Amino acid sequence: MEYKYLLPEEAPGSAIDTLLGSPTVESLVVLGTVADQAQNTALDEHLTTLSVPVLGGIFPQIIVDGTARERGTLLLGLGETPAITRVDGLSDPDEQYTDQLPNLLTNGYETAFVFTDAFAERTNEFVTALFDAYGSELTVLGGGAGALSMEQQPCLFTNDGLVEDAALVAALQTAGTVGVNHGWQEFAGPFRVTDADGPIVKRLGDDTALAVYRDVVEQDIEASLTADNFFEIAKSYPLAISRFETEKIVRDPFEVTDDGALRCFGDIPEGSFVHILKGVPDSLVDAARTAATAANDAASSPEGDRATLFFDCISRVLYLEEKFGRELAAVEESSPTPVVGALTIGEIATSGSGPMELYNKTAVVGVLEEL
Amino acid sequence: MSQRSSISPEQLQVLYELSLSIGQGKTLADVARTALSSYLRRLNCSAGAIFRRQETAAGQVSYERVDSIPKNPTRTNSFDLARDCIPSGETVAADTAFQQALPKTGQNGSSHYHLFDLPGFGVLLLIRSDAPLSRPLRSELRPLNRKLAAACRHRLAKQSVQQARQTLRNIIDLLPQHVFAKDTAGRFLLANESFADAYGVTVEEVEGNTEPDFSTLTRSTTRHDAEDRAVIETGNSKHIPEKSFTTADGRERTVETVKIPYDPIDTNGDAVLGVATDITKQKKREQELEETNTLLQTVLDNLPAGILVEGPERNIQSVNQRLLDLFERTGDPKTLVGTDCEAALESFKHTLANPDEFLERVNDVFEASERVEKQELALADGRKFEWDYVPYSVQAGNANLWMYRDVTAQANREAELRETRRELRASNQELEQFAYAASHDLKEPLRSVSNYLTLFSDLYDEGETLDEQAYSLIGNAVDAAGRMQAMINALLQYSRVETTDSETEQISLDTVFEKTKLNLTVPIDDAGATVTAESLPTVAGDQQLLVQLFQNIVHNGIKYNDSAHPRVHVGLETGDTTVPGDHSLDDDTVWHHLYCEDNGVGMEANQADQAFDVFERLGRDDGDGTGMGLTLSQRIVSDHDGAIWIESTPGDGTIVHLCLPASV
Repeated sequence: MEYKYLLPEEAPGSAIDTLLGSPTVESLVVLGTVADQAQNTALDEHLTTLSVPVLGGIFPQIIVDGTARERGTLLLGLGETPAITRVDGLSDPDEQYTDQLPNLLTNGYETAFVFTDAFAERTNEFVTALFDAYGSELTVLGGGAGALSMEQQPCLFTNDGLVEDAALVAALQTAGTVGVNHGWQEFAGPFRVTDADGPIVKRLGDDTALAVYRDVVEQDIEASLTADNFFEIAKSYPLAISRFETEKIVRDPFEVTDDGALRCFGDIPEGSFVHILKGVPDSLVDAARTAATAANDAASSPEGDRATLFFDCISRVLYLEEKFGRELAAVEESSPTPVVGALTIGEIATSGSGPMELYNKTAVVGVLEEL
Repeated sequence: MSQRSSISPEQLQVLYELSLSIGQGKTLADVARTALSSYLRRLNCSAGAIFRRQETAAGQVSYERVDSIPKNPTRTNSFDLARDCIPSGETVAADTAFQQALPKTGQNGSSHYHLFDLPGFGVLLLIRSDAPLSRPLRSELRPLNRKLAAACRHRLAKQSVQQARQTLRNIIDLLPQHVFAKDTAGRFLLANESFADAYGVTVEEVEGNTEPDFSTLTRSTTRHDAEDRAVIETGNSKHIPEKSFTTADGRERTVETVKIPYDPIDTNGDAVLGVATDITKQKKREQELEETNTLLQTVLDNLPAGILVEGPERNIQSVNQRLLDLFERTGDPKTLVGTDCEAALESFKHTLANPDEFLERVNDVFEASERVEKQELALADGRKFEWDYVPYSVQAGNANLWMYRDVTAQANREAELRETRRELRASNQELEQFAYAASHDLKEPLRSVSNYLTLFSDLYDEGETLDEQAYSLIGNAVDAAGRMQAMINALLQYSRVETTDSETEQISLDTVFEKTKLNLTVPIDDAGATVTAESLPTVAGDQQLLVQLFQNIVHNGIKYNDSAHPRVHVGLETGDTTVPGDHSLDDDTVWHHLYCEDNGVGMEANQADQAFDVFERLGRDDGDGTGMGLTLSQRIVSDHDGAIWIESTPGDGTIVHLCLPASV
């Protein structure tokens, strides 16, 4: 896989033309940064003129050669033409996503990039539809695009221009493997979710979700948890729902509602049990390394032919801060090829050969073979 | 240590969460998809499927895939291996053995598959890539699987019910009748499209709402609800034969409604089920038929003929008022409709002159079943009827039409016509006489005038002067012309003799006689005659004509009289009157028989009849009279519907008999 990093404010045309001029490049994946608005605009204009398939997103940060960058754009030249499916209406409550997904498995597709608008309201249903359609036979990796301003805006690159409230599925016939781990540690719980509405947890047990959450977290931080400092504190204390014999699924609470509910990225079903997790930097770094190792261990192609893609949660950056470099290094060290990717708002991946999930605060390392 | 001890509390929580996800979804496919997705995600499985057991009538068992993840398994080899374990077209016994062996576990490389029994429904397949599901977990899944099986069975049953309900829904929506069900609160539990269409709304707008919620049509909602509640509370159905309303698009409709108590399965409380059939067209047809029948009955009632229509069952289908009038029956003709024809005929028998003969004839024509016309029927009261018989076919068989007409007046008119013809013939005879007179009798004076004038011409052509002879010839010619003038005047007088009812008055014959004597004063005095009369009656007639009649007869008595003392007497016969055979008098009229007797020359009996001929002077040629006196007299008497004849003997005088109508 050939790739090219556009420096901040660098005009994209020339670099794209150069990349597409390569005989091994058939299509383009564009990973832009929220901060480089002008470059995104220029990309949008240029991409609509291209005849090759294009997809991508605008993320809080991108990963280029093992380094997180807040500006600039990463251009990935794929060695094959993907089957791109665009699913609109990702917040439309009446939309049936299963019906929009083509039959990829019998057509030889094995791996897929999936990018979604992180602030669409039905991403969970979309991921469920993906899993129901393709199970674990399609190796999926990707994540949510958008800005940490938490406002929905056009964030997905397509041949038709930037779009929002949508999802892009780019299926490849190249085989791929995925490693998924987060490293967050169980801190308190379980708490039974007695009232929930999609991604909003209203009550835990007999009390409001915020009251329960605050009781747990304030004991640990020895300070008051308020609406103002909630995002800053909560980035270290995510919620999680359990799975059998595998890591919990993390749900990142990012906002408190007026009635004391916690709004998360991703659904938490009513009736389920949640734990409150706590971050330990070393654990998170180890988890990223484990994910990278697992992905590479599962791959069977020669190491030099592989492409390593890393979709890590932006909240891990916010939590680890200056220690996030260790996480990138851990993945870099475990991968035979340069690590490229994006820091996303919610990650989407098949868990090894297990189910497909919408994750939060999780490291997803994918290895694409012979791309 | 129990197997459960190997399951951690957190895992139990996961299983609890898994159990919560089982049974969600409206259809079997939804339930299977939701549960399967939850099984795989919570148990960290890579693929799976749910199969439904199906047994054919031949006893072969197969398992049909209800759902799977992925939707089209392609590269999961364990899927195919597991599928191969599941019976396909096996015997029930083989299937039983298969089920008894469940749960079943197999391995393909690092991939493990597990087949679980879904009791009463089918099989659950779970595939895990790295490690098999632990034995304790497989054991703990048993109640969840039972719950899943129950949910699938329930949804399948519900789906069947829904399919049946949908079929029913389709059927009732196809029905032209308005079908609806309401609860005690007036809320519609069911409505078909025909019902909703009448309101101009959709079925969805009707169901679940009360009538005022979806309709602004002016309807008797309160009364409807009361009716419906009555059906629910009493448990008795209600039939409303006819009810009119206006549809949303303004059409006037009439419906026949049946409401029955109804116990809806999926709703608490009782309800009423109604089916309203649109009978607008039927009502219109009935109305048209009624109007046609009314028109027909009006026509029948106003026909001059009495009509009886006999149906195939020999009952009366229709009868008109005229028929009852003809047979002098009272009552409403409608009361006879439906009664037996023969019985009705029997009730008419007493009005007939010859009932047995009539009934026999009726039976004959009925048996022949052929149209007959103008059959005569005499009634006991003297009236005369004609009747027609017309058989015709209807769908139910043969019907018969009987028509009766009162022809009494017609018969009378025909008799009168015959009399008039007779009179016309007599008149024609008279006209023939006139023609004869004109051609023969008038020739004589004309010939005389011609001869005299010829002679006169011959004489004076030779230069002769007028002498006595010339004057004589001229006198003779003048006499002949005078005679001809008299004869023509007589003829004119004769032709003008005619009375009308308006001219008929009560005339005293005494007065007539006196006027007669006065008019004949000169001939009476010249002849020295004695003319007398006894007290005479009053008659109905024309005075002027009667004076002329008396004048002619009395003058004849003086004129044809050689006696030195001529006498003429007018009297009244009081005994029975025998009118000669060639005369006839109306039996319903009272007649006065008068006579005028003289002592004149008389005449032979064979001359008596000739005496009334035109210009008949019975051999006299003295120039006195025209021979029209008795002719004119006969005309006057005839015009009074009376009779005149002569009784005479030569040398022994003449008696002229007169019959004139008495005054009323």
